[in-house]
Amino acid sequence: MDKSMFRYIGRRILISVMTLFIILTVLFVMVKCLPGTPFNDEKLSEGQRAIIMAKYGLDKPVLVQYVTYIKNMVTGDFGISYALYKDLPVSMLVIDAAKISFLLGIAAVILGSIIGIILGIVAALHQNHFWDTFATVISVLGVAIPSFVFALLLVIFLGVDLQILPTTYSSEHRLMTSIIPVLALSMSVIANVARFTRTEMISVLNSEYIELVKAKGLSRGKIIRSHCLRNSLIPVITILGPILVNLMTGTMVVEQICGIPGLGKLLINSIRANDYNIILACSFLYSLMYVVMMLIIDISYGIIDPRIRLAKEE
Amino acid sequence: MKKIISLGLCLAMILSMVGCSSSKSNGKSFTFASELEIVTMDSTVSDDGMSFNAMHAVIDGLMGLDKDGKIVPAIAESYKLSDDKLVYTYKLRDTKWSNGDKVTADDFVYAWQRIIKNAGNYAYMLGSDGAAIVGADALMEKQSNGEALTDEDMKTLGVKAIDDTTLEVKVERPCSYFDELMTFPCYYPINRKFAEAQGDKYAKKADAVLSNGAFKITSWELGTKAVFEKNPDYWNKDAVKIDKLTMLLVQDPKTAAANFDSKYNDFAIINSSLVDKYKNKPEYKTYSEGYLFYLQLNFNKDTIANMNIRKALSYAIDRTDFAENILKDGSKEADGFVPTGLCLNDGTDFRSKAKDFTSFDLAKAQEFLDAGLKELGKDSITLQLLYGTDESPMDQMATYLQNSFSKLKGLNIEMVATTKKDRIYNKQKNREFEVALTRWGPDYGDATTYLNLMLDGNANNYGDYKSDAYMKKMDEVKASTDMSKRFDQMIEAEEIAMNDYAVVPVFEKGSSVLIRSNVKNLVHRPVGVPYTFNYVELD
Amino acid sequence: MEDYELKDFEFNENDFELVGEQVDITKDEVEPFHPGWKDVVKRFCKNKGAVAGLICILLIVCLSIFVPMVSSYKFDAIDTASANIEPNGAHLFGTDEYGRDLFVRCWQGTRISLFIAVVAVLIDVLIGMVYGLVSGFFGGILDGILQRFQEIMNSIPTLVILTILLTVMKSSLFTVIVALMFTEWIAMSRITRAQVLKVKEEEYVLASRTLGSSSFRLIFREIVPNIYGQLIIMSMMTIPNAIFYEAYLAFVGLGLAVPQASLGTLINDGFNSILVYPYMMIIPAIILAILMLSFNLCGDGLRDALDPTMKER
Repeated sequence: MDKSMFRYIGRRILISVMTLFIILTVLFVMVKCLPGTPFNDEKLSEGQRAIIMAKYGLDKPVLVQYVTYIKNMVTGDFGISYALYKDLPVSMLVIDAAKISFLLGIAAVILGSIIGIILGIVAALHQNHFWDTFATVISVLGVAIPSFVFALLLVIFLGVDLQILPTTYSSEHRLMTSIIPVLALSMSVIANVARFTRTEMISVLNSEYIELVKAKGLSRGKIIRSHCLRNSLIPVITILGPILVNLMTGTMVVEQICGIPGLGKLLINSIRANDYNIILACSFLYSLMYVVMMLIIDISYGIIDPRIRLAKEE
Repeated sequence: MKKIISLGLCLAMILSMVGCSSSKSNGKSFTFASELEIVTMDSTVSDDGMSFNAMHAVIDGLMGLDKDGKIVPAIAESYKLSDDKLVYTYKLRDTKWSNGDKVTADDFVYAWQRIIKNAGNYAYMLGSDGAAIVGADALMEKQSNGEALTDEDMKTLGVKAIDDTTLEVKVERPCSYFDELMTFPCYYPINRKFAEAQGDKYAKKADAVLSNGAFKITSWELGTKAVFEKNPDYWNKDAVKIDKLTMLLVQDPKTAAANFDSKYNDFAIINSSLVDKYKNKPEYKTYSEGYLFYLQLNFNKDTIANMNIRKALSYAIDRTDFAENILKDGSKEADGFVPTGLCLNDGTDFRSKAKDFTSFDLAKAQEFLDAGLKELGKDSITLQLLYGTDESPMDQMATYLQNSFSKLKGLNIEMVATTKKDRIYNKQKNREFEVALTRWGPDYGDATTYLNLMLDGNANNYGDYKSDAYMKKMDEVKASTDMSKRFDQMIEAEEIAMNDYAVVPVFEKGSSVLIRSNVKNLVHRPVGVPYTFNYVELD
Repeated sequence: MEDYELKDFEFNENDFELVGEQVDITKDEVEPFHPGWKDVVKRFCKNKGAVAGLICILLIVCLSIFVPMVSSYKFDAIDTASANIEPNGAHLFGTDEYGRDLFVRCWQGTRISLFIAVVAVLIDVLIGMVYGLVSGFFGGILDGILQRFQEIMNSIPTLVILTILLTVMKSSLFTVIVALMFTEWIAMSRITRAQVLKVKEEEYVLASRTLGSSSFRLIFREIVPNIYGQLIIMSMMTIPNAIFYEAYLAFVGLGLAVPQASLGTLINDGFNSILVYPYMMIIPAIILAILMLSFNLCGDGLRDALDPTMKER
């Protein structure tokens, strides 16, 4: 790695940090624009509400609140929940919820990429035959139809009609109840990965070095296993990052359908309850994941292919 | 590949079996599923029903409920009320906290001072809106002026520990429903030593809260469940028939119902879309929730200020059809502003003595509307219907009302959909509404919890209904010391407001539940703590 | 493997064949002239998926326009006596819990969803295109500022913006459209900018510039006509996105005011009674799926037709 590489990475990180900072500021302002307060009980009197606001420091000017928030945030303190879970630390709530969402997302990516890769390879090896058509149909469906429609249909067919799977998440039966959301989320992964793998695989199959080993008389199986797969799968790995990022937004709706106490549900609930700190922390975490993923993608591309870096710096 | 799949299936089956076996335990166990979460176990900050349920299972206050939901002494063995009805002297039972400490009078003093000091959401219940404890209003006033409360200040609160087992409570005015208030979680005791040692962590985890009640909390996982087991040191332990109580958080009524069918829980709250599936089963029950859903009318608008327009609105609603064919959850048409079963005098319910002020007659509604339009000198008017989309079943109510009102010729309805917080704290507070769909849950079992809402100057009278006759009548109610006379005065007061069409009551919310047929004595009350689990019995 | 040398090979008489006689190289055949769009239509029609998608879209559009107009039921007429009827002859899609005919409601909902999609697309094509054109064409500091802003907007997940925005505003058709405007333009502006950057260095632009064309003329006469294909494709792809986000918003409870219906709110309402009356949710969900699929297929077809070089291998 050379110096310019370091400079490039440094620059990217700086931009990301600045982006995050600006996002946080924008979010903070937006959250303060929400009507009402976190204390929405119609029974509370004005005076009582004022006392509570003062207790949490919400009566101070927005700027002061902002500075305090940023200060605390740097030390990892995201404040406490005002309404959803009275006085509990937000960092704990958000991390618990994020764990669930993230595990689902990862599970969907793993499942999706395994199926997708297999499908893609099979399709590439049997070009223009049944499996190829099948893979194409799956990828068109998977890309076009939103994950929550899949979730709904799975709930109806597997959960309601056939009654073989529970329809909603419960922490008691984590594995069984995660099947529907994971399947639903993995559809788009399958579609994207299958499509990409197929294309890569075909280009590898048509490449000259494969012609060479073919000419050398290696068996078809051996060619595929030891020459095609590795070369066509490396590029596939690079698209998993963006897929995971896209998936995280999809989980929000699927979480709602399957009743998963994940990050998306927490965010929606906190917006309804005006629970400022949770809204901020959740949205920030989403943005953080997004920005970090983008950063990793950019940097890894930069390392893999210096031309991209140059193009970006222009 | 096959191997992997079969391995996965095996794993799945094993895990699901582990899951099943863990949910069934030995001994008598009752599992309660709710879509609401236990928010806190700290009685000084909580304000929601589910937290009340959990706290009530763990902690006993001065007064409690018996099997039939009647108010009986709990931690208080007995009490004396002074002749002027202003001083209560409680004699406490010899009971223990779960750490072995005695429950003393000082624990009450500490808890009551703490709720004021912490500005708990229910602190107002100590003030003149509730029990009117001496000094409570003054303390809160001082606090809202931004002054810190000193220990000296706290001593002005009218609650005093005479000795370990004697508690004296002074109130500013006589209160007919004081006993009932004492069953509310905001009046529960807190072990001073324990709470001070725990500091900020008090009541935030299962092991950070002490029990003096029927159950001990053994585990509490946020977003999942809380498990309670019978407290062997409970003073009334013979009345407790179950060994284990589990409160599950199941946010979706569909899941709750499905889990009920597969026997994961013994109790589930369902919504109206599920009623059709369960209504003929023996497990199906309905409760009254105590909430009244009504239309708040903004008297500052010309259209609403017209009596005939208001009448037309009230007559246009087929309340029975809405409650029975759409909500289907045991909700009932509202006859007046005070719900059924809330306020009793000598066994007579307020509603059964008061008149029925609501009826459905589309032709009459049209007549009133035409008369109103003539008075206003207009051919047609447009009314805005304000409702919150996040308050079920407000959307159902809005849908139905829009349709009902639209049947009147000359009345156009514009829907204004928003969130609850925006509805109350923005639109209604700033009087930027015409007709608002709103609701009110009783604070205590007395008609004034509703009637006060229509007082001029009441913070919740967003419609600015003003009536001198009503104010006068309510003053009489306030001054009245004779209970049955007061009862009649309240009925008269309601009549004044209802004849003015101050608000348009729509329905009394019910809730439909599934409860295992062998479960007995689950006490439900529309006011205060919704569910009492102490007496639950399994046949 | 054995080694071969050239001398080991021997050529036989029929190893080669003469091709010259089969093609008459003295004749120079020229394809008759036909306009570019005909090529596009021809290529598009060859794509079976795209044609099927187009037919589906047209069908759905027609149904959504005409069914609410001609049906004897009104989409918001409540009749509790005929509530929760399963699909039958009188009510093709059944009725909901208020006894409203779901056939009319579904198509009314589709109409609203399509309307949202089209308006959102129109607006964000305008914003996104102008943003991209200005940023790409003028370059320099302006480009830097615009691009930083765009990057930041792009790093906030769309759904976070939508959700927060929708809570600040009241839920209505207008709000949903505004919310979509805030986020949908980004992709459009990026594509436009990239295209402008590519095109503006071309010789014909340079020529026009040298001849003294104004920036306005350069943009609208030289650049836009050469990138419109990309823009059409992009806006085609925005439609399913807009439909999806509308449904998403309805699903998290930030949809339209009752008694209006969109596909999103219908799915959401139906979801509540999924255990008892699954048809209430399945039907709108399937319409949504078909609609999104059709737009995707159509968009793909259009892309291939407009720019054959972009066709995936």
